[in-house]
Amino acid sequence: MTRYVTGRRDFLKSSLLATGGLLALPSCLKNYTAWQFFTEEEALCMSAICEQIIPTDIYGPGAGYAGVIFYIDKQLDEVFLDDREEYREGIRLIQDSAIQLHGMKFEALDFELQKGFLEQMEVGENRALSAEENMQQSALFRKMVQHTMQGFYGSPRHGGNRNYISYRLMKLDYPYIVGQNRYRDLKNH
Amino acid sequence: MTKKHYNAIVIGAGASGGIIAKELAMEGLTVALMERGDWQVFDKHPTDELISQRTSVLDSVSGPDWKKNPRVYVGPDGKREIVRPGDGRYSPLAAVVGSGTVTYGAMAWRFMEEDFKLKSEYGEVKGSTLDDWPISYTELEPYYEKAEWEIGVAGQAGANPFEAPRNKPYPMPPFEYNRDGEIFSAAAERLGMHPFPIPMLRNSVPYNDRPACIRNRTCVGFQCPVDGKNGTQNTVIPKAISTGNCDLIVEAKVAEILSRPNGNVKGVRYYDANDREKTITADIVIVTASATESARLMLNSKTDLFPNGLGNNNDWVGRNLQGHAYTGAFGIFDHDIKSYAGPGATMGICDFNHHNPGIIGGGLICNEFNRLPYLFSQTRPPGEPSWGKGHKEFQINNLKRMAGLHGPIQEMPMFDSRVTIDPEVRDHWGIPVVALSGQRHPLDRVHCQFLSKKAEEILKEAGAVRTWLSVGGGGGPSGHQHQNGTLRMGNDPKTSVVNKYGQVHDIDNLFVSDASVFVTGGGFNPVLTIMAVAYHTAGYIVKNWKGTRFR
Repeated sequence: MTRYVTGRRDFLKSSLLATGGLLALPSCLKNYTAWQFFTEEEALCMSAICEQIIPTDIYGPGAGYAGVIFYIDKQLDEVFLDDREEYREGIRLIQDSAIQLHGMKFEALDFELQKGFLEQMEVGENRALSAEENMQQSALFRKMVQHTMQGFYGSPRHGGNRNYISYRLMKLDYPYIVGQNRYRDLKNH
Repeated sequence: MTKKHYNAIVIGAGASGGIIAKELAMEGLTVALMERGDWQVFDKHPTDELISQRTSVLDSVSGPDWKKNPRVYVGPDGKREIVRPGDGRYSPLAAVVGSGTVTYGAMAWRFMEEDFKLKSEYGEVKGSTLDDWPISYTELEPYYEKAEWEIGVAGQAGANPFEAPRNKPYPMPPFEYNRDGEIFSAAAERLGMHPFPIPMLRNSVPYNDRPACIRNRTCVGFQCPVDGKNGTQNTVIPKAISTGNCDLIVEAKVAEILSRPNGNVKGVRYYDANDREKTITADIVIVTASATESARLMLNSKTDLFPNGLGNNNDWVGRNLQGHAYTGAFGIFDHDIKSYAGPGATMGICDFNHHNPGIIGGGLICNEFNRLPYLFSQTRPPGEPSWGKGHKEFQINNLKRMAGLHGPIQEMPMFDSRVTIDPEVRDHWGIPVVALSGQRHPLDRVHCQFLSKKAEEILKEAGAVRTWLSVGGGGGPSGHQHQNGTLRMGNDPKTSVVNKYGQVHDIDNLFVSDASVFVTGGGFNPVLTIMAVAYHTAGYIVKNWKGTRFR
């Protein structure tokens, strides 16, 4: 029997409690309907994974604020076409095993439990999965890490790194290009 | 308007093709300079790391088109896999007018005298096709000079005590050291090494009617926004066009070189920008399409006299594919050592090119080109977390505190590291594609370890609080950006494809001039040598041109 209570409101509440701030979620995620690849449920799970990979911390916002999920969603629709099935199946396995092991969906787990879950996924030691599944999940996790880094540290043109947040965290000045270079689409700056 | 017939067709408007087209057009020959890509436009990729030529995660803004240009990679286990240009195993080169000279880091190395006679210097190497070049440094020297002055190099003659003799200084003063260059050069000097400013194909002062470099952070992998980086696209190609004798045909995908019954070539069959199949003819054809694509074109052009591809009756076409294993070390400092001004590499050390006991060839050491944020996120010391809180903290704290010293190692050529034609896979135009297979020589790894340890010594002397090695070599096949060696030049037609002028053995009016004619790749970035060889080949063609025909 599963103990988790579904519903977006509950999720948001628990996620806020778990991560301690709105920054962890893209502010528009809850009303976002324009997913190109993910279902809304997958997006909630994936968004929590991204925030684990690059968390909000004393330095500032993480992958959630940066909108990395939008980067991954966009690229799975446009560029990473070969990764689509792997993501879909992988997220399903993550949710199934989170429920089996902890009685809740992944995104509803508290932050430390999520972290431990992903650490096991990384090394292929998820107790709820077969050896073969663990191997696939381990490879998928490496891919998720790379994609999250791209979304966070790459140009905002591709959907992530909202407001150039990662550049600000790294204290990078605007690249100096005479006469040509301006950050584009910078609305809240 | 393209003509039906030219004196010369040059296939590939990169480092060599641009030079040859210009040299021939200036002498009055009509030239068709064919390029698979188009002119690159800066605004398509303003400072965008993920689509740059160095980190092609989402796309390669300089081409080639991912969807239309597959290749096949054959792993050590014989498994064939289709790869796209974003995949490192593809060995992509920029498909634009100017090719890699638009996006390169622009180091302008002359090879050393020893680099042209490795076999004489070091003897036979077991398992390798190591050999001497049929041409010496002394013969090439005037052509190096020509490249330095016409394309434009900034450097300090005599600053490198190991530099081969030169007749003329560089046309522009050298670039200053950046912060890590300053610190590393002082450390290297304390260790008895001989650091010096890297010669660069960038303007240190206004030159050739274009402005000086602005130390742009996003330099290597990108087109220069102020045109301060010198390639064939902003020097010799415009000059060639200005003669009125040269037609630059962009987006032209050459499928095949056409031959006469007597064995001489007569033109090419290609697909134009609208994918229409076309043919043009010429008195001579010069293949300048890169070590992978030039070999492919030769192998795809079969005749009764050359049933296995032009020049390939000895089965040497496509073999000896080389590149550069990059090797070095990283260090973390307790102060900001990287200024992050562009492009980042300023200091070179040639103490480890030749005459190091037990090392064949060796390689140079340089401080690094900037690692942009995503690439930096993929670089960590052993044991550091690859994600999570620790990973982010490292990124924020060390972007300017981590620095590397790296260099290209002289690879040992391998007969079985090669370009072949895949029996099944075709590109968008139906042309059979490159398959890459083979392995690196085990000595490459040994040489890389040697160079990496030297790099680490400098980092430690410079005060790094933590250092680690990043050792290249191993695996295979080689190739990549410094791909070379597939259409070897030599005096013996049995063990080479072209003669010292780039003329294909047995085909008088077919030439090859790009890094594919290299016998060995040196312990240096190859582009200035590609340019020098191009001038040398062009000089030979011009000298033997008799008004309306070749010889």
